[in-house]
Amino acid sequence: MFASVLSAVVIGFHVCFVTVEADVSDGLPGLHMVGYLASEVKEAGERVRTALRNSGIRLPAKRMIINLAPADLRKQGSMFDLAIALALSAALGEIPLPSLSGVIILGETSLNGEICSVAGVLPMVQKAFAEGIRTCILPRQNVKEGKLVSGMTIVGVSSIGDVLEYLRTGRIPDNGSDGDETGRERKALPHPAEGPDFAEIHGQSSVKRAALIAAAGFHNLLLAGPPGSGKTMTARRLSTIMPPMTVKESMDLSCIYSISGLLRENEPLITVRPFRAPHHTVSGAALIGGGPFPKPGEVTLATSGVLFLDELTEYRRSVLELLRQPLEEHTVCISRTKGTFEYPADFLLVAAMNPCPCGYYPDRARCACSSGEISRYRSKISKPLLDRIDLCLETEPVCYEDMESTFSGRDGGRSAQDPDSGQMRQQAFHAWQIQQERFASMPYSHNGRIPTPDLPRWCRLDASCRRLMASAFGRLGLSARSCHRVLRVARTIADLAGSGCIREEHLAEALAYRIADLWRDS
Amino acid sequence: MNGLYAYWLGRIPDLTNGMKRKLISAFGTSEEVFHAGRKQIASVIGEEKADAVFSSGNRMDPFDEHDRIVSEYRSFSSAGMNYFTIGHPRYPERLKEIAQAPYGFWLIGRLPEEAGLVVAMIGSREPTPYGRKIAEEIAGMLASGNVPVISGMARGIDSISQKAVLDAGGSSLAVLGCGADICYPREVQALYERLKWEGGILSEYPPGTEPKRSFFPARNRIISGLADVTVVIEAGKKSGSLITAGMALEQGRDVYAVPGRCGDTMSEGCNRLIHDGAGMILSAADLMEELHLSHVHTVPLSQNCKRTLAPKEDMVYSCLDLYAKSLNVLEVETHLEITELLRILTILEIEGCASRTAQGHFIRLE
Repeated sequence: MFASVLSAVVIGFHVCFVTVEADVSDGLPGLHMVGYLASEVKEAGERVRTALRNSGIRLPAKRMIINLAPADLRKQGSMFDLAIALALSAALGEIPLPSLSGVIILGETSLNGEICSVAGVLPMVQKAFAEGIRTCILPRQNVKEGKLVSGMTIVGVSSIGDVLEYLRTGRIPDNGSDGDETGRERKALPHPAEGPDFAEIHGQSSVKRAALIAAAGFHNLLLAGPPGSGKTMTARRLSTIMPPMTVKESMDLSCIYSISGLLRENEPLITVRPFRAPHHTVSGAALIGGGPFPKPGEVTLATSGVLFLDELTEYRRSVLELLRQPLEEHTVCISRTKGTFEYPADFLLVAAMNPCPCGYYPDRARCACSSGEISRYRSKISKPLLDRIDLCLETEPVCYEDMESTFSGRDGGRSAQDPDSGQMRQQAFHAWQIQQERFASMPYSHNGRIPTPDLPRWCRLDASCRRLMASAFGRLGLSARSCHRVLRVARTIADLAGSGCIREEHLAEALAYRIADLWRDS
Repeated sequence: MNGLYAYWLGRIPDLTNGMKRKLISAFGTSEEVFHAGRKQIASVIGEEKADAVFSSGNRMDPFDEHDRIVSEYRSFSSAGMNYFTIGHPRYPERLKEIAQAPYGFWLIGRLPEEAGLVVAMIGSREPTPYGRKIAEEIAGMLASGNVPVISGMARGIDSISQKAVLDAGGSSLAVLGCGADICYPREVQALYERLKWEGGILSEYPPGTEPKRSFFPARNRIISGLADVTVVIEAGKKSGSLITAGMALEQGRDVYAVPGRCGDTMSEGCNRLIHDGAGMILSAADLMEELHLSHVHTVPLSQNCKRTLAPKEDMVYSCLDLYAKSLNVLEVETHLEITELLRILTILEIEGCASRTAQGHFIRLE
C-alpha cells in the first residue's frame, strides 16, 4: 500500500516542501530509504523502525520503501523522522489516509517513540500557511513557536502514541500548552526594562550623543579610544535605546533564530534586539555564514540589532573585508557548489578600537608608539570598510568629576545629568517615527540606509548650509563619499531635533563625527 | 682629475676622518698623498694605517682599483651628486672649524650661502600639535627672512620644519645618516624630491649606504656644524636632538630651545637646555629679533579670526590653547552642551581658528 505525507526542509533561508512517500509491498523484507539523503536522514530509518515498534506498531516482514521527493534536493536535518513514521504507519494501514492530507509534519523521534524538538519550525510553518496548509503537527517543545503563525492549527505531540491517537480520533492531545498566543495580533512589542542602562556610564556625553544618533538613524559607528573609555559599555547599551522592533522585524528575526536552532522554547518570539559580539578570532564563515551546507553567520544573527566588533584591528583583515557586501547591500550571499544562499544581514555595526598598539596615544607620558607603528596599526582597517561607517568618535578616559557620584553614592551611583536609556530611547523613537513617515513608500526606512542617488531628495541643504559644506569640503579635506555620510548623519540630527530641514547647526555637528581625521597622518 | 684623487682618499676604509685630514694638511692635496711614498705616509699616520692606504690603494693592483674608482666616481657624478673634500674651495668654512670635520661629503643640490646666517632646526620625531605648529611658524619666518634651514629630514620636527621652509619659498639642506641617494625615512619621499631642487641633500656616507643607528649621532655634528644657530623644538629627556644641541655648544654655536610646560615629557629636554643656559624662544617673532631679523615681515600662519566670531564661538575659542585639549576638558570648561560644543568646534575648524589633532583633541590656531 502506498501513502504520502508532507514535510519541509530549510535550505539556506528558503523553505522547500518535501513529500515523504512510503510503499509497502511483497518482496525481500527490509526498509529502504531513497531521495538524495544526508546521513542523518538515512539513519532516520533505524530510528523510526524502533520508535514504531516501541509505540505498538509491528513492522511486517515486507519490502518497505521510503522516498523523499523531490529527489534532486539534498535532504538534511532530523525533522523528517515523524513524517517518515507517519507515512509508514499509513502505508501499513495503521492510520486512515485522509487524516494526513493538508497536514505538515515536523519532528524527530527517539527510539522509545518520543518526539524531540527541531530547528527552523517558524519559517516552515509560515511558508506552509502561505501555501494554504492549515494543520501542523509539531513536537510539543515547538508548539509556542508554531503558534506565532496565527490561523494555523497546531497539534503539539510528545510521542508517536499521541500522534496516532490524534490521527485516529481527531482529538488534539493536551500537552499543557495554553492557546493564548493563537491568532492574536500584536501591534507593538514591549521593551524589556531590565538590562544594561546608559545611566551607568558616567560623563562621556559625546559618546552617548554619538550612540543616540547611531540608534536613531541606524548609522554604523566606530569608537576609537584608550582602554577604559567606555567603548564596550556603549556598544552593549546601544541596542537598548533602539526603538522596539515591529512585529514583522520580530518575526523575521525569530525565523533566523529558528533556522539556527537558537530559539528558546518558552520565548519563541524574539522581542529584544540582538547584540552579537563575535570574538576577534572569528572565522569568515562564522561571521557571514557558511559551511558545506550554509548556516547563518553573526551578521545575520545581528539583523535588526547590533553587531559589535571589539578590538577591530585584531580581526583578520580577510575576515573584516567580508563585511563589505553585507554593509553595502544588507544581505549576504553565500555561494557553494550546492547552491547560492542568501541571508538577511541588516545590522548596525559598532566597532571599537584603540588609537595605537598600546592604547594610550596621544598621551605621550604613557604611549611610546612611533608614528610608523600607529599608522601601521590603523592601516589594518581598510578604506573601503571605513567608507561604510557613518559616525566616528574618538573617546577619552573618564575624568574624575564624572566619577564623583560613584564614590559619594548619590542617586544610587548615577549622576543626575547622565541621561538614562529610557530618555534616549524616547528621543530615538521620535526620530524613528519621523523617518517611518518620510520613507513610507521607500524600500528603506532609516536615514543610515538612504542610497546615494536619493540623498538630494531627502537631505536638501539651504544656502547657508551649502556655504558651510563648501568651506568644510576645502578646509576639512572631505571626499565625495564622506560628504554623503555627513548628509545622512545631519538628516538624523535634524530628525532628533524635530526639524523638517537640515539647518546649519545640524550640519556642523554632523561634520564633527567625520572619520577623516583618525586616518589622516598624525 | 683632482676630484678623483680626493675621492680615492675619501673612500679608503679603516682610515678615520682625522687621519685623512692629517694627510691633507701634511701633503697639501690628495694627489700628493696618492703619489707619496709609504714611509712618508707612515710618518704621518703610523705604520698600521699606512698599510690600509696601500692595500686598498693603487699600488697592489693599480689597474683594477683605478678603474673601479673612476667608474664609481662617474656613476654618482652622473646621478647629480658631487663629492666635496676638505680641500675643495666650496667646502663650507663653518664645517672646517669643527672638531671631527668630515674629510668629504656627497651633495645633491646646493649648500647654503657662506656669508649669511644659517639655522638648524631639530626636535622630536613624534611631536605634539604644539611642537608641530611652533616648528611651522619658525620655519616659515626663517624662510621669509631668507635664512636657510638645516635639519636631518627625520620624521617629526625635522621634516615638518623643512617642508614648511620650502612651502614658504625658502631653502633647506638635509643631512642624512645614510647615502645621499637613499630617502630615509621612506614617508618623507615627497620632501626628499623637493629638496633636490629647492635645497640640498648632504651625506658623508657613500651613495648606497643603508641607514645605521650609529650613523645618526655622527651626522648630528654636521647639522650643528653647518649652522650658526641651532633651534631645538620638543626634545624629550633622552632625545637625539640633545646630542645635536650638545655638539652645537661644543662647536661654539648658539642654541635656542622652545620651552614646554613643567612635567611635560615631550619638552623635558628643551626645558633642561634652557635651564642650562640655552636661549629661550618666547615666540617665532622673538627668535627673529634675537637673530637680528626683526626686519622680516612676520606673517602669521592664519589670519586672526577673532573679530568675526559670534560670542559663544569666541568663548570656546578662548578656552582653546596651543596645547591640545580633549573634548571632555573643553566640555567642563565651557559648560556647553556636547552638541553645541561639537557644532562650534566644527565651525572654528572651518574658520581656521582651531584644528582637530589626533584622537579628538583640539588646539587653537591664531
